[in-house]
Amino acid sequence: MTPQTLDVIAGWVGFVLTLLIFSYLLADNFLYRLAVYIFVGVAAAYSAVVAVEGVLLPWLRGTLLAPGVSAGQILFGVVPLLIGLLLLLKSVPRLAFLGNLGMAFLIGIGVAVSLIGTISGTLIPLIASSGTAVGDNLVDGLIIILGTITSLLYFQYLAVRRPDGEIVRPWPLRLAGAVGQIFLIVTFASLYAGAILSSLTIFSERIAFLLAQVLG
Amino acid sequence: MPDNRQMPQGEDLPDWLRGHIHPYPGEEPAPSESPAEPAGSPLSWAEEPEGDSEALWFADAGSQRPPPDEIADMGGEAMEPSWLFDDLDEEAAGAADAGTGPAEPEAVPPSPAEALPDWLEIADSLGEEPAPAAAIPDWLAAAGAIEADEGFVEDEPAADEEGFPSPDAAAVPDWLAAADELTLDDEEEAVPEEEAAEAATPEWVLVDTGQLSPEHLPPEAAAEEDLTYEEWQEIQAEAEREPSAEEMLAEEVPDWFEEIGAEEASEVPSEPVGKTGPEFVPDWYLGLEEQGEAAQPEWFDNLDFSVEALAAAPILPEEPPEPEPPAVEAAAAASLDELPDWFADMPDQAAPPDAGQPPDVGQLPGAELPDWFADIGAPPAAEAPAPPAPDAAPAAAVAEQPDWFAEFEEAVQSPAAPVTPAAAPVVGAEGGLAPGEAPDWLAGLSPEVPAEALSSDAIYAGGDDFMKIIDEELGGEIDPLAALGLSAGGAADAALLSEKDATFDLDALLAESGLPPIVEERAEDEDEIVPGLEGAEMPDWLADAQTGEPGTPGYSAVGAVLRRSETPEEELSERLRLLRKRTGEAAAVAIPAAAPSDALAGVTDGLSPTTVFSSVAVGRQVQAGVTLDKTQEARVATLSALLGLEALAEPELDEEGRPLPVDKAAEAARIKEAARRARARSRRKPLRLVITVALVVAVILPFFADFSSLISLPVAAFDPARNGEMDAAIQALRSGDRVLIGFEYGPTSAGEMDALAVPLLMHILLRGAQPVIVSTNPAGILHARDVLSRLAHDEFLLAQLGRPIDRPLTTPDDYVILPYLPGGVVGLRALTATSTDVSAVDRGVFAVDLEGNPTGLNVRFLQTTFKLVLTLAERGEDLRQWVEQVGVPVRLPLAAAVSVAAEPVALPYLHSGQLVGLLSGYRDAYVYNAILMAALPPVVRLPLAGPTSRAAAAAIAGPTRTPVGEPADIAEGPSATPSPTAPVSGLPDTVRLITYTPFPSATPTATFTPSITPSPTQVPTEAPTLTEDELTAAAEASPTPPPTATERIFVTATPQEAGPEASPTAARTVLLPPDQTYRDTRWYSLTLGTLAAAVLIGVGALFNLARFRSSRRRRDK
Repeated sequence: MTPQTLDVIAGWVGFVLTLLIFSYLLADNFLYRLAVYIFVGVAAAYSAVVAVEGVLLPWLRGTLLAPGVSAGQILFGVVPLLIGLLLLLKSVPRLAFLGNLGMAFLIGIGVAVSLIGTISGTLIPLIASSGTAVGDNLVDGLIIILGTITSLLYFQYLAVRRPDGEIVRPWPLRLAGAVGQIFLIVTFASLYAGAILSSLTIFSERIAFLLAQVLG
Repeated sequence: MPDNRQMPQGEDLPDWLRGHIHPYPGEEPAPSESPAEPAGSPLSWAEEPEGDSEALWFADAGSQRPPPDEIADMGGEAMEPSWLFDDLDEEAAGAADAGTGPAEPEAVPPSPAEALPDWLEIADSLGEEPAPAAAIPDWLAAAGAIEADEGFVEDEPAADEEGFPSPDAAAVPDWLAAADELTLDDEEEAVPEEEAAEAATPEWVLVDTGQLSPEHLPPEAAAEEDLTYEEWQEIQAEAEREPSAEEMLAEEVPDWFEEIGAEEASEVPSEPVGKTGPEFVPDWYLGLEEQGEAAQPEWFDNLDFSVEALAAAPILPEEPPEPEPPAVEAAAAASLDELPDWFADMPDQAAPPDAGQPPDVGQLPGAELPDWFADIGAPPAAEAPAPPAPDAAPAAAVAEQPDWFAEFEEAVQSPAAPVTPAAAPVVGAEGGLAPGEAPDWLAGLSPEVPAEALSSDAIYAGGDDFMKIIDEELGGEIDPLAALGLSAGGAADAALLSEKDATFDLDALLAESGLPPIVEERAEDEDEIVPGLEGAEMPDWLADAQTGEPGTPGYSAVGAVLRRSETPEEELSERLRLLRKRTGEAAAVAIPAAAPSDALAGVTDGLSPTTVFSSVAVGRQVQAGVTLDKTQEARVATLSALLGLEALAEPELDEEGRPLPVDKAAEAARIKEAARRARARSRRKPLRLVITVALVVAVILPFFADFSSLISLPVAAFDPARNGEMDAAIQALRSGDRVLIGFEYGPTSAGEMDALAVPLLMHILLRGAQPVIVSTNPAGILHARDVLSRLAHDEFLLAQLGRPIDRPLTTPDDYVILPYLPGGVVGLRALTATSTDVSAVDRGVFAVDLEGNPTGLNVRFLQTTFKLVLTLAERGEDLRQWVEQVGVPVRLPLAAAVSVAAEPVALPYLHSGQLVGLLSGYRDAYVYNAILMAALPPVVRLPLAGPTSRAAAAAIAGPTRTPVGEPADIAEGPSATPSPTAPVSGLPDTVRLITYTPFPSATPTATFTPSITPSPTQVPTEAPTLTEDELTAAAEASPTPPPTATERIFVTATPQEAGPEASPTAARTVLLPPDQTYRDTRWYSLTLGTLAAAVLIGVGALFNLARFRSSRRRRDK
């Protein structure tokens, strides 16, 4: 079987699966779920293969199974595997606590790395950029600052209980929250529009694919 | 052994005691005031390290009855009971009359035998050989056994079998007699006599006032009768030597103590001497007779001398010899001198206390001179004030007791010695003290004792704790019974006491004697007013707080105060009135009382019930933890609904609050039911179907109809505000440069992202750079391989690269796909600090490719290896991670191509300068591809065979043709066009040439720079198909077409065998770049679909608004 033949077969399989997915437009049905299951299964299987072939085996070959491996290499290679095995115990309720070690390791390092990256890569540069924008374009800069501040104020959850028991927010906060809500609406609308555009783009690509398969 | 270092220091002691403080070993000794101790000091003997005065005193008395042990046990001489002093006073008075008394008559305790208290007589009568009622205690009688001798002890008293000197009134040494001749009344006259006696009596014998200082008298002097002067000098030298710590400790134990027991158990007391000379009384006794009973120390008032307690104490048949104090304890023992002397003996002889034992009396800090000590020289006991009324006793006692006693009192009342009020005292008239036989000094004691300080009942109930303290302090070497003189007969007495007087109670005895009890019984009610607070006024707020009942609003101090001081409601402002109303309502809310067994039973009035934290009920917790208005509550509810928190059922809990096991069958049924409802809902949504059909039609329709007249194509130009300098960043690449590409999308978004990735990869490859692809998405790696594989074999790209089709792009020479990068954000961070040492443990991310083949990248630092970082991200989160973890540390130019959905997240990074370029969505992909294709010459496959074709191709190529195998360089523009005369080479004769003509509309693009769009003209990207006639005409019409700056003609070939069937009329195809099929149509489709979606959304919004208004109208109606 030549690659060209495989490409043709793959193209038609893709065509069929695409139709199965599109069947959801009618209703939730077996064909749709079959296609979803196939996709999920293939994706999971492929991920597992990639994890084994691209992560575990190279690690073992580089550490434990390496020729002339030293004790340090063995230890260096065993520790991650041990932590990984502990993570597997999370599936056993009675031994799930043993997996907390691995979870703590992962979460701790992940949070630390993310925090550092967020501060140095997002917060500080974007704050500086917002400040700079004021000087470059006063209107745009003020809009950015106003949108940022009011959006943050919208998510504050401080209220005052009046003597009669009614819980209210001070009017400045309410006003700022309302303005922030407008910014949020615009933001979410743009995100939603982007999602629609992405979906339509994918949809058109699939239509083109189907037509190409059918019409050649 | 108690820590004597905790004993009061010099500054805590009375002035008269500071001179007796001995420094710890190693410390600088404090300036000793001992030599300068004023005359007549009652504790002058204690100033000297020698304790031989007791030895002398009791050496003679040893053959007689031992001294009262309580004297030593309870604190030395200061604890001597006044009744004893009364006796001594009388003896001293008699001695003074006889001219043998001490120089200070008031300091000489006469001890006539007649003065022996009755209860001691009874105690004596319990012995095997009871002494006559008129006899003085035999141990006192022994004091008269010493004869005075001229100059020194000259005549040894008659020794008994044990070698102790026999009691003899004539045994008073002459030096003592000389000392006795000194009196205060005749002090001036005594001076000459003293001077005259110095030849016979050494100086140390006389202490200031000329009074004999028995402690300066070595025991040898008393025990041996024939001391020579040299021996005596040696003794003096020894006496003047600075004692060591061990010696100091040993000195704390009088010698007579060591002999106690042995004499007591074995010796039969001899007949008491009818008169004991005052010369046998140590000077610490002197003056004590002057004290009144009321002036006894408070601690002594608490001592219980009842037989019941004493009978339980162990009676040692024989006193063991004084053990040599260990060297380790010597330092601690030295601190005993810091205590009052009457305290010093106890710790000396004490055994190490057990844990939990009540604190040692000797450890009581802040010891002060007892009042009765200060009253020495005051009127005698007869003049003591009458004891106060019993009811006033506790308060008075509390007020009068020194601090050290207060602590002692607390120690006794501690849980270690529980008080049992039910232990009623039992009077044992037989064995106990008969009425009126108690020492009269006891008569005035009880009023000064706090009721709860030291109860005899408490002592009994507490397991004779106090006596245990004494016993343990004594190390079991001293018999408490003997200390009281109640066991003069030895073991037989003790046995008798144990049998008959086990229930002896001093309280009852005192009651029968008509004396007020020493201690008051503890009140049954624990809520009785604390002693000392009887007369105190209760604070108003406390009184008010007790006015209400539990559960009522007024049952609190705050409530009481508010109620007491509240302002009439009509005078309050509206705000305060509302606040009061709410306060009252809140207070009126009945709070369920806790069950009696609860730990918080009785205190629930002060605690409001709260919910137990549940990880499921996050929304409710948020609402419960903060104050929210209605809008915020609605927002929280919405967010909870979005997160699905409301759908999560709270786990069922058992009685103890633990979650019950989940019923899997019920859970499965619930899930099945939910799925059925979801399907039912999906079927019941006809509107969804309408919307779907509308969108599908809008998207598909452009594929079957021409919308070019209705929908314009995008302008082939970049917007710097949206795209930055993406093209310039890639255009700056040179051959051999490497570009790190993050391929963060998979097949699911390939329909959108591939349109961005392909032109970017082509551009990079056309620049001769090497893309190095890495992904944290396993599917992304798979898709990247698919995309690169198609590009590697793409005929158009190969033609642009000048490579034959049989020489596709390969890895790792042309591109590299690295393995899946695990770890997510951590993996990205590790990417910036990687190594390519394959042999090392950390073999590096760049060492091998996806297939496991070495990449040969030799990446040491990303900054030096790569010229550009390009991120192809489906989600904004992926882009953010690349910016944060790779862009910031590496500081390389970072460009990104994202989906439209991720554009709002990516734009801020572009505006902040963290991205040099940004492409998003199909529009940018279309524009970029159009500009790229405009800069590239089209490739037309013209299947021609034979030399004619070659000649035609060569003719067509002309001077502007690029020879095969030479890559195109779109960066340098037309000026870099190879020589038009370059021969076509490298083609075998059997290869058919694909000839083509320049794409007519490709002329506008002069250079591939951001400024290439002078006019927003549409760029038709779909290549037209040229007819053979056109090609032939072009070839024949202009064999040497004039080269233009915009024309580029590439000639490529396909490795096709020329067959006879090949015909010059075969279809000639203009090769399109990859993924260019339906490029314009897709734009039309996307545009039309977007319009349809917008219309649907708008219509839907209007529909919802109309429905809302309609429902509101109905609700209003």
